[in-house]
Formats: sequence, C-alpha cells, structure tokens
Amino acid sequence: MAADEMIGASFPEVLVAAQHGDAEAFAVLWRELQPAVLRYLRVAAPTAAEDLAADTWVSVIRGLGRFQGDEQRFRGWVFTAARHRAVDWHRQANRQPTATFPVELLADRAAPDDPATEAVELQSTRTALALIAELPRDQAEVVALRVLGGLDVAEVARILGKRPGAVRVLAHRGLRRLAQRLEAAGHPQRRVTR
Amino acid sequence: MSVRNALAGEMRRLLASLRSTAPPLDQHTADRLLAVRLDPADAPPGYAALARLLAAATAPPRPDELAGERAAVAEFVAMTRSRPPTRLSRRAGTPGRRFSAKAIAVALAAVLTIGGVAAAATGLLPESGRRAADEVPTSTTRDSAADVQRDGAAGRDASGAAGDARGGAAGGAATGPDASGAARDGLCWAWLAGQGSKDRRQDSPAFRALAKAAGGAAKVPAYCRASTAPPADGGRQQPDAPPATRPSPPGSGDGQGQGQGGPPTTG
Repeated sequence: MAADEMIGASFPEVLVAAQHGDAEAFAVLWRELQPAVLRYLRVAAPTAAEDLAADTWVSVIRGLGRFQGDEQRFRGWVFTAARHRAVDWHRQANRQPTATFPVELLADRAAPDDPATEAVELQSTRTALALIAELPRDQAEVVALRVLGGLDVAEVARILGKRPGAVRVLAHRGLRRLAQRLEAAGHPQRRVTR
Repeated sequence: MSVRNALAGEMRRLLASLRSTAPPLDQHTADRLLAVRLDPADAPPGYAALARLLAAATAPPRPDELAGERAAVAEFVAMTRSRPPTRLSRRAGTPGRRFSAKAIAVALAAVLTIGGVAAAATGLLPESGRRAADEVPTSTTRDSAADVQRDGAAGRDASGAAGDARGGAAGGAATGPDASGAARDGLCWAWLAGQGSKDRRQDSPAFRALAKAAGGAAKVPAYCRASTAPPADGGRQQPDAPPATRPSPPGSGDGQGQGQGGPPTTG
C-alpha cells in the first residue's frame, strides 16, 4: 500500500489502455488502489466504506478519459473522488464519526496468554483503522491520506485545499494524539509479533 | 467481578491519560512514521505502539479487500460501453499530433470549431471534424485550467458543438460524443495516416497503446479498420453524456498546466 508498491514505470501505458476501455488495464489500477481506498474510507466513513468505495470507482471510471497526470497524481485524483464520496455521505446523513472505540479491548485481548491473540492479529488492520478514525476529523483525514493513501504532503494539501504547512501540523498532531491514546490504553509494547 | 474489572480498567485508563502526554515528536520521526518506515524497535519512547499501529493499518491487502474486482471490472466494461469517457487525454492525443498531417488537421479543425465555423471545417474534413468536436472539451479544460468552475458548462456547450459537427459530418449521426471510440479513432487515424513510415510508429506510445487495446501489434490493422468504420449504432448514444462532474478544486493544477479531470460527484 505504500508508495513503493506503486505500478511504476508501466503506469502511463496502463492508464492509456484503461482510458481506451481495456478492462485488464483497469483491473490493474483497481487492484493497486482499491485496498487503500477501502481503508481510507474505513477511517473517513466507517460504516459505509464498502459502498462508498464502489461509488468512488464509478466516479473514477466516469472521469478516467479526462485524467491527465502521473501515478502519484492519479492516486491523488482517486482519493479526491473517495473523499468527495465520504464528505457527501457525512453531509447527507448528517452522521458523525464513530463513537469512541473501546481501545482498552485491544490491550486486554492482546495479552500474551490470551488465546484470541491470533485472531486479534488478523483483525489488527481494522483495529488500527478504527483508532485512526477516532482522531478529530481533520487529523484523521490527513493521517489516513498520508499513511494509507501513500500521498505526499503536497498532494494531500491539494486534496484538502489546505496549505502544506497546515497538513504537516495536522499530521503531527494526529500522530502525537494517537501515540498518547495508545499509551493511555496501556497498549502493551510486547504485543506485536513482528 | 466484571463491574470491578471494568472499574479497574477505567481507573487505569484515566490515570494513564492524566500522566500521559506523548513525548515530543521531531519532524524526521514523524515523516518516517507517516511513510511507515519506522521500525517499532527503533521508535523513540512512546511511539513504538504507534509505529506498530501504522504498520498494521498498511498491512498487505487481504483477499476480502480485493473480492470486488470482478464486479468492479464488470462495472467498468458496462460503463465504458454505454457511456464512454468523453474526452481524450493529452497523453492519448499528443502522439497523434506528432505523427500525422491528418491529426494536425484535427487540431486545426478544433480551433475552427471553437471559432464557430465547425460546418466549414467538417465539410472539408468530415472525420477530422467529428474528431475535433470530440476533442473540444479537452481543449477547453486545458486552456482554462485556472477557471475550472466553468468546466461543466463549457463541457456541455462543447458537447453540443460536438453533436452539431458530427451531425454535419456523419449525416445525422447521434449527438453525444462516443469517446472511447473517439480515443480509439484518434489513435487509429494517426496510425493509418502515417502508414508510410512504419518504423517510426512501432515504438511510439500511441502504437503501444493501440497494440495493447487491439490485443497485439499484428491485430492493429483489423482493430483500426473496425474502429474507423462508420458507427453501426448511430442513434444510440447517450444524450446525457455531457459530464455530470464537479471540476477539481482550483489549485489542483501543479503549475504546469496539468489540470486533472475532477472526480464526478454524482453517484
């Protein structure tokens, strides 16, 4: 999901082929971005992530013929569409981000003698996303776009209509707050296996 | 017991939050955390758990996250058939311009179309006129990247022009540009127009794109013959093809005139 797992040198060809209706080329783009988009939406609109991800791709398909730019820009463009979906969803439903996630569960269930540890490990991506989603919305958004989207400061600033400096500050605050939250939950340092 | 445990947990959490302020975070560490390049073992005090959390958040995709591929591709196929993209990308357009006189005529015709003399242009260059009309929205977007708010309206106007131009050119063919066809047509025209100089074309991005779309370099001629044949389904194009999109936010350009199409917002 990180930037180093991008499509890379073949991206321009893949893009052009997809713009010409090549389904396999589109599938390459989809496979590359769908997990990240889905995870971003689990942060931005937790209970509607799957639907909004599908809607995002409808938007992307519709606009694909007009897109111009490199891969980083394409990622930014797709995440812009995803964010629009999330913003619309919040607006329409007048919903708030999820209530406080019981983070202490994480610590309790992750105790080394807990037979559920293995199961928890399998879910840890979802747990991590839920914790990021607990941040104040603007911080959560920046952290999610930077970390999950693999987008740089400039791209995130462009997506959010903020200055790069503001994006850096929000990311910084989000990270500190998350760290604090984990410490407060007594998140055991020994927990993780890798 | 459980109440007691819950209370104990609550107390623990409360105490922890009282004493806990995460240690200062320097920019370098923050950047490494955000790039998920900070090994928890190397993390400064107070940040190991966060490093693990971010690693978990970016763990490799699981099968269930990719389960929708089939549906997504089916959606793509259905949408590109019924409602093809309406504009050529610059990447698709550029090689054509580089390769053929006909494509230059297309560009000229585009200018003429914008100038309101589409009929004259299409009279002289029937197919080029049609192509040019399809390209107009691209030109509009590109040339007024700073004024993207106008994009939607301009796109509709231009699509109207496209319909008119095509009507003149193709003898009453449908309004609404058929752009997956148009993109394909453009590349095929460029290819056909330059058939005398084969070597030059083989390694061009345009030809590679064509070959890929056609399913192989050898299949390009047949693919292009099919492409440039008169449309069989002339009357069936979507009348609502003009983009129902929200232009990308101003400032989305990177200063090189590389505007991007705004993601549509209608679902």
